[in-house]
Amino acid sequence: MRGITKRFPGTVALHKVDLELRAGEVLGLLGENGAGKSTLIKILSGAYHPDEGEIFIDGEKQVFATPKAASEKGIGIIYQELNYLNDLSVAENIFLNRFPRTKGFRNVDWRRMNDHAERILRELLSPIDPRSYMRDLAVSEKQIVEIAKAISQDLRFLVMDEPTSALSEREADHLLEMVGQMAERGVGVIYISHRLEELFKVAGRVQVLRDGEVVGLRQMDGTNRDELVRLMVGRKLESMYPKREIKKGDVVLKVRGLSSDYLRDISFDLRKGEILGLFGLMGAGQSEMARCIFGAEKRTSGDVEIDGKSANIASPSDAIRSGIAYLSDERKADGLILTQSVKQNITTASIKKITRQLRIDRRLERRKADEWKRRLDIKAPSVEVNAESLSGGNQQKVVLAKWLETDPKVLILNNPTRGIDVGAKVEIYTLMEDACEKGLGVVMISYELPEILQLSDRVLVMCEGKLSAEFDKEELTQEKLMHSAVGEK
Amino acid sequence: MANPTELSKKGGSKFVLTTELTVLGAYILVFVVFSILSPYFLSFKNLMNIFMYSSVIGIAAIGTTLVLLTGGLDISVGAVIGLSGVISGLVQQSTGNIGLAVFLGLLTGLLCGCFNGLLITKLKISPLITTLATLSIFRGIALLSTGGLTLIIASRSFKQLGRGYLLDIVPISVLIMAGLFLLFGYLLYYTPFGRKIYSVGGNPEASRLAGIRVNGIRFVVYVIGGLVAGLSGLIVASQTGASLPTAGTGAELNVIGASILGGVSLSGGKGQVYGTLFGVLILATLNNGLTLMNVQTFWQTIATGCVLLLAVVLDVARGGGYR
Repeated sequence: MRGITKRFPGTVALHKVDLELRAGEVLGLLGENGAGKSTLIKILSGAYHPDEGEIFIDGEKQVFATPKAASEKGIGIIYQELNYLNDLSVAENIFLNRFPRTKGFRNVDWRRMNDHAERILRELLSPIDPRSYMRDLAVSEKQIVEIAKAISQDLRFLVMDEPTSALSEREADHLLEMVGQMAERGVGVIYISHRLEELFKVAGRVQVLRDGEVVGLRQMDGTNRDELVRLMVGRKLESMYPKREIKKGDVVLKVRGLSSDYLRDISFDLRKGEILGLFGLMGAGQSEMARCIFGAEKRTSGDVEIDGKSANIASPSDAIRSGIAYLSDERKADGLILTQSVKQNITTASIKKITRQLRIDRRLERRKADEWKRRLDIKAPSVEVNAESLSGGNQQKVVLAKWLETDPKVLILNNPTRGIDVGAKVEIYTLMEDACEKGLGVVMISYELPEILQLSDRVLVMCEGKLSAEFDKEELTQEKLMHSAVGEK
Repeated sequence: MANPTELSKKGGSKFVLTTELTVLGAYILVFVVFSILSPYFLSFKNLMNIFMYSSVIGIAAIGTTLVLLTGGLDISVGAVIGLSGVISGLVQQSTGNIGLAVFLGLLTGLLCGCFNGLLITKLKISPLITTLATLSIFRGIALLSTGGLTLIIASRSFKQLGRGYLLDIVPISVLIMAGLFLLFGYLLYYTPFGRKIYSVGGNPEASRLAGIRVNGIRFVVYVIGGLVAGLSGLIVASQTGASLPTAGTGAELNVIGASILGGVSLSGGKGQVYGTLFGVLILATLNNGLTLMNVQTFWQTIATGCVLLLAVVLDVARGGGYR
């Protein structure tokens, strides 16, 4: 791949990225969340088309119009998000759309398919029955099926995106062996993982991406983990973080022993005027924690106190009443009602405040919406237009306005600047500081290290559903954060 | 719920063609065409006839519209119409008490709605499957209660409900329909309840996170749907002077069709009750006009189907539809 550039509205996801993969090697691909790894893979798979740059196989230029075109060239991809059909058997999933046929009537040759699937699974040292249904498998087993599917094809190149994230250590070791064997057979493998030790075991070279650019290409035996972490996170900090000195008040939110199916025994305090950063790798449980506190997900035990009083939260409406606001990370999926106007989105969570004698006071509603539009500088022709028509940053401000309108004491922000441009980011940061000045406590979940480092007064790190570390602003370094996030002391 | 009419007022002289206005235009077109084609069409008496004919579907369609706005679906409407008519007929036969018969007929509809609502919100069965099953159950109960027979209703005062006129001018059933459309138009536009219906239909998860009791809203719209279908059933029984256990067969398609024709999106969150009213009137006018022109009933059925298809195509063009 040469000179690959990919732009999305408002951001450049990849900038002139070169990547060279040799037959029979395992190339590690490293980078923070959002560094551009996934975009790069999607371009290789034909799912995205690069704005600039070319892909060559054996020196021959390729244009992948569709994922099918890429797979016909022998490119196999195992995505982090698994793709499978729950109601089909394991063997059917492995041979989906390439079922072996019988002679004569060309029916599906079940016996041959099941035998073949079984052989591949045993090679992977997995006891999964190819006749069982996907639905009944554990996540780690599903991952193995996905891997079996990839290696059952005649592959020349294989891309694996965090294939071991759901596997136990033993399973992961087997997988790494398989990867090594495939490379010996001449397959070129791109291996993406946050677990550096895996890369040291399996990869020959490693390429590091940061902010959509290649920042380093190293031989595995000529580098060490500290250098790699530094390459991943080390960046210039621009003056885009309007951090102010704000006096901290009393504890406003107290969480004790919060547990759920995924979370284990989470306790922490949040003070008025404080921004508490919450860092962790994707899937480490930050969103689950926020949703549990907010009553959007069931917890198995634990207490939440607001202003020293136990808040009995069983649903989001309870949480809102006790003064908690939660800005979710998927504003289109569960933040906005896209078919409704900006005005109505702003008042959704506080309809009571605009209701006079059982009737919505539309003039009051309009006034409030106009006021928020002015205060947050929401760029829209009018508050009457549909939320759908706004840009990402302005949509995010609408969601923020919705939550500020509920007069919260605690603001939980889940990746508040995800997918919005730099200018809007700074505005969101400023609004967070404003909120702190007014005495709110803010919990900011983010995958972006600079954001965490620059804005937080204190940082909690999560790893596999637990709090793994806590840092004060003074002792905070990127390396420490990354190490705690991957679960190392 | 975008409110382009309000927007156009605020924005000055800019004219925005809403879905509902388009439907109104279509209705006027149908109206003009029949006025030209048939000499009997354009008379006060015939107009009232059309309205009276449409009241059964119109009243039930209000409930369907609310259900569709929350992103749900209720295809048990026709069976509820049949069952409530039968129950009230049975009560009249055994007690002769019209008030009690009307009350129990309405209660039947309400309970049917509760049953649907509970299955959908508590057992989390999809609305389509739930109401497909209850359609069968309610119809079966109606048939069982009369042994499949038709009950003749003799009461004169009960006939007033569906066939009576106020001051010999306006049919009572039309007044009821108009009143209900006004009531629910008001509820949807002015009350938090109406606002929440649109929110739930627009994005249930965002609504839940905004503190709206999504399942509560869903439950209530099915209950309302059952109640108005029950009222429709009483009017059918009154108009025909009999309790037919098979009354209302296929009505679910007409009410859903009328709603969609009126601009209510099948995917929820978009639409107005007055749009549904126009949809109902278009279907009723079409049938009336074709009858006056001596078009065979079978052709009328085909015409209705074509109009519904057209309506669904419109829904797709508006961004809804099947993907």
